[in-house]
Amino acid sequence: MTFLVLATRANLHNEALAAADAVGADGAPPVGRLNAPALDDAKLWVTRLWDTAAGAIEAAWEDGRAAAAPLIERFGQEILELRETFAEGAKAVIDLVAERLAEYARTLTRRLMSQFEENLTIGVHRFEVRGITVQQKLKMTGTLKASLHELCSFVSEGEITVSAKYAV
Amino acid sequence: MEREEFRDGLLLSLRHALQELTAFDQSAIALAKQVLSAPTIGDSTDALFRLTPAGWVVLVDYCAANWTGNGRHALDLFGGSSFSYLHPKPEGVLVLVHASFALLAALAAEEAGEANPARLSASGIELAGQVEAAGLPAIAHRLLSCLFHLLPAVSAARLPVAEKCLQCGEAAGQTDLVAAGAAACALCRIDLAGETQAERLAAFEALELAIERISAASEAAREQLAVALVSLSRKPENLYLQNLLVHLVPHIKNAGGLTLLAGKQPWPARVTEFSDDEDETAAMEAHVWALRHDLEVDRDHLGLLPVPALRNPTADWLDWTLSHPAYLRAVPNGRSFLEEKDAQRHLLDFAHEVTHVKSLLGYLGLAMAALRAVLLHRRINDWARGGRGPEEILALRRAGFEAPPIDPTNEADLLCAEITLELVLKARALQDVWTAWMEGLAVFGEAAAEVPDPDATQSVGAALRCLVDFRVERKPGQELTQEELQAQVEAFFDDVGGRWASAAEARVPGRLRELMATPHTPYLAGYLAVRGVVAAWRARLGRPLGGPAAFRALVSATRLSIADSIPSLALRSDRFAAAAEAGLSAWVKRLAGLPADRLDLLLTDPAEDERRPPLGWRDGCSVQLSSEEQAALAGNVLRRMVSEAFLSLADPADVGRWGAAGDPDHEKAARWAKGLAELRQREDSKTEEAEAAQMASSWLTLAMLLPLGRADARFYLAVGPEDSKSRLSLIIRKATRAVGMELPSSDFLMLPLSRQTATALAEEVRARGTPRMEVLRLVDLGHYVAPPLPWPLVVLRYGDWLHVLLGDRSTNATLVDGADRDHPLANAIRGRLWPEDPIGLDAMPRGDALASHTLAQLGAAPPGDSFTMVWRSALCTLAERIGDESARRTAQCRAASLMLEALGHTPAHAAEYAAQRFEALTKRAFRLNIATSLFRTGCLPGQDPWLDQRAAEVAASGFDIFERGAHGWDVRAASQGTTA
Repeated sequence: MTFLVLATRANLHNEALAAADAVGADGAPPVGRLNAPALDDAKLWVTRLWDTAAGAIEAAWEDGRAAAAPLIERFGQEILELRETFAEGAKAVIDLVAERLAEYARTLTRRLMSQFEENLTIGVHRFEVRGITVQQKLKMTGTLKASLHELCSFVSEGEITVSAKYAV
Repeated sequence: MEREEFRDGLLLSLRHALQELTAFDQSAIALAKQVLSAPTIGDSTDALFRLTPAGWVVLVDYCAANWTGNGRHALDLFGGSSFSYLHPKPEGVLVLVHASFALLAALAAEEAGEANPARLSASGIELAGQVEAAGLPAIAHRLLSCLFHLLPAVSAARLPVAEKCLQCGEAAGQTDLVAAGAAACALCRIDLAGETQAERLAAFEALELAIERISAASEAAREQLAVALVSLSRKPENLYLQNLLVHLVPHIKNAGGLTLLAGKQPWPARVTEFSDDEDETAAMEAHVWALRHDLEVDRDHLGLLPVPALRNPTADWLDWTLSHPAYLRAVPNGRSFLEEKDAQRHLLDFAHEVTHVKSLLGYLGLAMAALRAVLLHRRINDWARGGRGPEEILALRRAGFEAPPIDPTNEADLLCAEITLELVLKARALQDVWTAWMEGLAVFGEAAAEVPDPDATQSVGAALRCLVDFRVERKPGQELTQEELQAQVEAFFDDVGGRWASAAEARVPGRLRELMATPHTPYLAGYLAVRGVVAAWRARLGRPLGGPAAFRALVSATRLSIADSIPSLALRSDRFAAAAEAGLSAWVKRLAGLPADRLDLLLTDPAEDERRPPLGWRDGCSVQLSSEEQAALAGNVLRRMVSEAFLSLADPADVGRWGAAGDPDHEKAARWAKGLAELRQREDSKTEEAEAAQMASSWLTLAMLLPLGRADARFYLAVGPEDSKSRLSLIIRKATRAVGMELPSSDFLMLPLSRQTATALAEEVRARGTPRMEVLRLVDLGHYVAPPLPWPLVVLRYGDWLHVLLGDRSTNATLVDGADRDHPLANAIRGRLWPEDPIGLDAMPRGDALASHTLAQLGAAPPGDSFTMVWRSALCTLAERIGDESARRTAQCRAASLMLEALGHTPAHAAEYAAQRFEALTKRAFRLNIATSLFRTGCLPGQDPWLDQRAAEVAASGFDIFERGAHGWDVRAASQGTTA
């Protein structure tokens, strides 16, 4: 037997964003000294791009894909600017932002799947989960902008269809 | 092994050795006779024999067979209580013989196939130590040389032998022996070096030293030792030493492939002498040639140094220095600072950290210095209690005792330990309470971009301009008028200010965005507090006050107007922390509410009113105050602070942990407190307070000399005749990573020195032998050097030789000559950068170690009576508080929140800002725009189309702190209640 489950809730989305935020994040500066964080170009660029990318995901989540479109466009322009003004570090920056996008997708999916009960009991029958399938396809390849576009489409549906197969 | 068996085995091995070595040189026996016939061992120092291990066997055998002292035979050494190694008799020979037997035993074990290099090494070093102590370091050296070759080639046991060998060579004062010892150390280190960077660094530095020592040895020794070391270059794993080994090529006839690397130029010694002009030219050419090669050596060495643990720029609360990762091993030189890839970032980093240092050089710094000086005096007294002398103290410190041992049953010990912890806790409480404001001010300062004032040494901008050399532009033969020179100076200062402004515009919005979300440090709360105060000033003045003017006034206020906001240093630490929080809150509120006339006084640019006396503060208000009056005021405050700090735990109200008044334990504790208070009334206590105040004042004065970068520099020295200039040539590393490269970049500096100065340096080089000197760049933040210098100082240091140059105006004018060892500025720089504290009594910076010591001492102590058990428990709680980083972050957050509440923020908002929850409060896509809005309004409020366009977006972002007033957009003023 198969159940269709309507999934994502806001807390899962926020947890996934928090997990993505943590990728490549610095630890706390040492206590007891007057510090200035090490704010090199790469760090500033990662934050700038990620603010836009995560902002687009937020917009897609809350207001739909159309709301994310301007931010996706801005994201693309910022990547161009990055390549022009910080060519030597652009790859590392892009890799880290891509990793954050992937971590968002991974965490969201993982958390969704963990919502299912491992087994169900209906009457005297006990069903165990035999498989879970996410209905949407998420293509996280190609350019970073395209990946962001995919991800925004993925989350903008408002509900992600995940099916779980249970059997006795 | 039983003693008898040991003796028998030893004798057997001795006889065996003698049978094997009957043909051995008779000189050993002759020496032995000479040693034994001499009235004292020291008389035999001229007996220079090259002994082999077998020779020593013979010598020891002779001693053992023939020497009798006080009616005892040498073999009675092993007979019982008549001899104890730990308490040797005064007879030096007896000790010598005993140590010899230990070595023989080790040798015997080797011969018996029981290889134990470590034991052999230890025995040999012990014997050598005795021989050296008997006044025969050269003989000890030879013994160790023999032993070195006896030990397996790649053996950790060889290294201590080699090191002792070097030590004996130095004690003997013979250059060949020193060279041999240094070469032995290098050989060992190189043999032992694996793939780890630390091992390779040790090998590299040992080889460097060996090369220096070999170059001073006799020709024969040079060749022999150089050949031994150069042969190492043939091993592929030693490729990292190749550039260094080239230095040995001149000493040997056939150096193989290294000869090609060395080239055909004559290689200069570290120190050379020239006698006429022609020689001078040759010396200079040789220096340039050698320095070019040494660039490679410098890069090799730098590559082996461990990556600094410091990842971000910091300033230190206690010694008021700053550290920047890019300038831990590099010194800005010429215009190099501006030419680096990260120049803009570094400029803002320095603006941030210099702001910290300058802000601390006021009453907050005085309070820290008072606590630190009192702790130092208390520790001197604590260590001396019980009649401990310097040697015992030193032995305990070397054994790892951070503080004197605590007798857990001794109430005086417990009291002393608690006062120590209290002083540390109070210093930390002040730091935690003021962290948010200090960080907020420094973040605001990054964007202040003030143009340095050529006549002022007080501004942050004046310190930043010292990162760059000013070069006078003139055509050949042109004489500049004073006006022309002044115009160049002003143009230079404008250029620095302009670069700061460009850096701020390009980077501060992004940095603000990052800082507002950096976890655990209350940048956001501090910044909003500063902005709230500035906005209140702007509203009260009725004019758009610019960021630079506001910043300068805020730094002045932070330094000089907070004396009354620092609670009595006599308070117990928990009550002190609460009072400090209240003090900060009251102070920011008062600062935000300064009346318009006081603000006018505060904000008037000194350059616009030259007749105005320097600004000062009295009773929290800006006043016209001469610098003498300000100094007198500060002196009074410092004396009060020191006196208060000495009264820590002298208030009977502080002993409440033993129950209420009337409880016997409470009364007992109260008697301790009263006793302490009475002690402080004594005349000698007053003297002690005066000394501590003097010390604190001296620290703060020296802190005006702020190092901006430091590096080691390879150098060559050519000493010329009396009537010409000697030359010092060195490599100044100006960046550890040059633009577009992963390699360091360096400049050559060729400095003329007087013969006297060069000779003083040459003597130091001969004594120390290291191939690098230290180079530092300093800025005089105050008026330490008179007349005030708005120029950087460049300090060259090699051992006790300290030479100070004026780092500007293309003149390299000398401020302190290296030959003048007692120059006041040299002493000040030494006191600032290399303070003498051989026993490590200045413990405030090591508060964590003090806490660990207390916990270790009390944790293992057996239970005592109820009174001391309560006390011990309280001490452990205090010590744990010192080491609790989480508690410190909580304290910082709480103080920041209270400060914002005092400025009109709601408790909920204040708590959010203090917890750095900028990201939780804002939508992601708008964060950079919020930061940009803060930057733009921070520089100057006004009509701003950029802000107009984004006002709705920013307002909707969830971070509603802006408003549009009569002068345009700004952060809401503190006095109006910043947030609804």
